[in-house]
Parts: sequence; C-alpha cells; structure tokens
Amino acid sequence: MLRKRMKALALVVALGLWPAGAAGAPGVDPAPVRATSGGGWVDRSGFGELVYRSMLEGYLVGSFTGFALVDASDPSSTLRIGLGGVIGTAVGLAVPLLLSRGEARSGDVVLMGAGHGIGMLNGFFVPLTIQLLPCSGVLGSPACPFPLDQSRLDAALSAGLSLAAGGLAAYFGPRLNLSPGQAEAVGSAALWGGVAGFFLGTTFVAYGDRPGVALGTMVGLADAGFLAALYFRDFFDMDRARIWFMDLGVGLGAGAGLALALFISPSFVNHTGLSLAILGGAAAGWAVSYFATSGLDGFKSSAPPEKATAHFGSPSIRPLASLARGERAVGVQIDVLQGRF
Amino acid sequence: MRPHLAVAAAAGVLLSSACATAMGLPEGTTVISTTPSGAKVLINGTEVCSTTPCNWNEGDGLAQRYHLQVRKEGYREIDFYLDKELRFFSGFFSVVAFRMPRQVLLTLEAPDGGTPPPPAPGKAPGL
Repeated sequence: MLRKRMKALALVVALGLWPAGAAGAPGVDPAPVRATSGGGWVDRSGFGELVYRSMLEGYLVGSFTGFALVDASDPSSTLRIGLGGVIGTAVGLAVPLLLSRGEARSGDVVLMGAGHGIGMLNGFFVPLTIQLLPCSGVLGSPACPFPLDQSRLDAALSAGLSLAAGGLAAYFGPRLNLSPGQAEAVGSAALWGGVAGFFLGTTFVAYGDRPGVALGTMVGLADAGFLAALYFRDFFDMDRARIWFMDLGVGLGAGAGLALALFISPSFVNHTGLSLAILGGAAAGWAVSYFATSGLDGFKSSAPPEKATAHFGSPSIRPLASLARGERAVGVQIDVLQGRF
Repeated sequence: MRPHLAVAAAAGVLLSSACATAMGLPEGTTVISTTPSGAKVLINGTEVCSTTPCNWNEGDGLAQRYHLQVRKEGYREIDFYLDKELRFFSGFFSVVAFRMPRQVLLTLEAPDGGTPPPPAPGKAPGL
C-alpha cells in the first residue's frame, strides 16, 4: 500500500515539475541571435512556427488520407483516420527538425501555412461543390444523397492539393519576401473572402435549397481574397496582430450582425435578410478593427519607404567628368527621372 | 491519500514557478548587447537605450514586429526587423505563445574600407 502511495506521489511530483523541466531544457528557448535576411545572417525567427504548422499540416493530411482509405464494408478501417493523424503529426514534426537548416523566416512560414490552407480548401470544396450542384436539398437528404465514396475523393484531393500548394508557397515564399503581416493577410483574406462568399451565396439562394451555390461562391471568393491580398501586399504591410484583430472583427461582426437582425425581429427567418445582416456586420467588424489597430504599426514609423518609386521631378543639370579607357571626358548631365529602386 | 496528492501537486506547481522565475527576466523583456558595447539602440525610431548592454520591455505585448536600429560612432549601423516567434512552453500556463527573444546579441562592424575591430573572445561573429 505504502509503495503504491509513493509511486502515486512520485508521479504527481513528476507531472507538476514537467512544465518547468520542459521550459528549462536546452533547445526549447530560441538561440539568442536575431537577424534579418541578407548580409550573411540567417533569420530563423519562424522555426518554432514552422514546426507547429508542419505538425498541424501533417495531422490534417494524415487524417484526410486515412479517411480517403476508409472501406465502407469494413467498419474497423475507420481506425485509419486516427492512425493517419498520428503518423502525419509525427512526419510533420520530423521534417522541419531534420531538414530545416537554412533560413526559416516568419513571413515565409506563414505564407506556406496559407498555401496549405487554400490548397486544402480548394481540394475539398471544389469537387464537393461540383458534386452538390445538382442537389436541391440539405446534404444527406433524399434530394441530395451523398455516398461515402464521394467524400473520400474530396478528402484525397484535399490532402494532395494542400501539400502541393504548401510546397509551392514554400518555394516562392523567399522570392516574394513577404513580412509576417503580409503573409498572414494572404491567409486571412482567403478566410474573409470565404465568409463573404458563403453569405453572398445564401443571399440569393438558401443553403438548404441549393448548397452548391453557397459553397461555390465561398471557394471562389476565398481564392479571390488570397490573390487580392498577394496583389495588394503593400497595403497589407502591417503588423501581424492587426490581421488577427481583423479576423476577430470579421467573426464578431458577423455574429453581431446576426444578433442585431434577430434582436430587431426574433421571428425573422428570411435567408436573404439574415445573410445581408451577417455580411454587413462582418464588413463593419473588419473596418472597425482596421482603423482601431493602426497604432500597432509602429515598426513602420522609422523605416524608409520600401516601395520602388520613380517620378518626374524638376530637371536638374550637373557637370559630369569621367575617366573611361584612360581618356578623360567632360560633359553635362541632365537628370529628368528621379527614383528609388 | 488525497491530502498527499494535493500537497505534492502544490509543491510541483510552486517549484515550477520558482524555476521559471529564476531562469531570467520577466516575459517581454529583451536584453540587448553589442560587441563592442556602448551603442545606441532605437526601436521604432525612438531611442530606448543610450548605451548597450541594456534591457528593453515591449510593453503591452500586442505588436508582433519591431524596427531596431543600432548605432555607434565609427561602426556600420545595424538596421533590421525583429519579429516575435512562436515558442513552446513559454510559461507555466502557456503551451505555445508568440514571444520576443530574450536576448539580442549583435556584433558591430567597421564601415567598408575600415579595419574591423577584433571580435570579443567567446562570441561568434555576425548576429
């Protein structure tokens, strides 16, 4: 009895000390060096996030692959979903730990995560939308039967496209050289576009009547948001926390819009009205959080403008002397175009 | 049995907290050091340190990126962005959190054409 008690005591003490041991273990803290790309310095500020995102991606891809391999005639094959998640998480942990040797910039890592996300969304919802287009009822109803094989296909495509899009984002990320805020905006713009697209779709047709319409507009506007944020990346060169607040603003605003509509008329069930209320609330939430968080962009206050600019200023004339191939030449230089490249 | 468990758990929590506090400065504080010392540090354009080494606290902790400029007469200016990083087990209650680095070690270099100062013993060149 005493031995059992001692064992239990030792277990509790070990569990209590575990976080401290983990925090104090070597290798948990980042190396005390900070850097920016270039100049021979290696920026690995995004390594912790790379590990986290890689594990998350591994878990999702593994689970989706497990789902894609489920056999309807063999109930025990559903075990593959859980095991796929475990294996994927382990692979996701191992890959960055073993392979990441060079730079791991936060911006590149966040963009890779956004690529994974948009790939997964397209891989799942594009085929699902096509499958649901003939449907005229909620998913699974007699008007919209949905066999397991169809969703297995969606899961397989989703896993594959997620890996491919993430790989492409990881490849092009260093060339784009986005800041963490810009990269976060690319992923979040897909989220904002998806929310707007879904409720824009339900403005015209109720989800239960034609689910393919809402899902189609959701995927379309999510992709449009992703590409728009990439194109307008100078506008989104802001602190990452601002983007998080805008995510929060969209979510809370959508909820507030719905609550306001139902507060005004509790029996209001018109899908067009509710969708517009949600859209209006989300837009208002986005705008409020955008303007309310401008103070977080302090990092830009002392920075020179990054954008290449060129303008036609007042032409200036200056004397010019040169020495080329041993011959001296004297002339006059007229500056017409002035710029920063 | 239960009192024993409660006492043991409480001891574990207290010891963990004591270890975390003893490990260094409060969360959000960054030690900025340069080789050679005595440099001026500006963060987001505001001078936060007139002579290194010094401690800097980020304040409310909401911002995720800071612009650092380190200046010392006779040396090339260092100008870069400091991004928060995702850290695991960064505190007793936080399994994952975005944190500033606890230490920033910088080696100042002479401008082009000049003679670089000898590196301090025991420190790697570069950042």
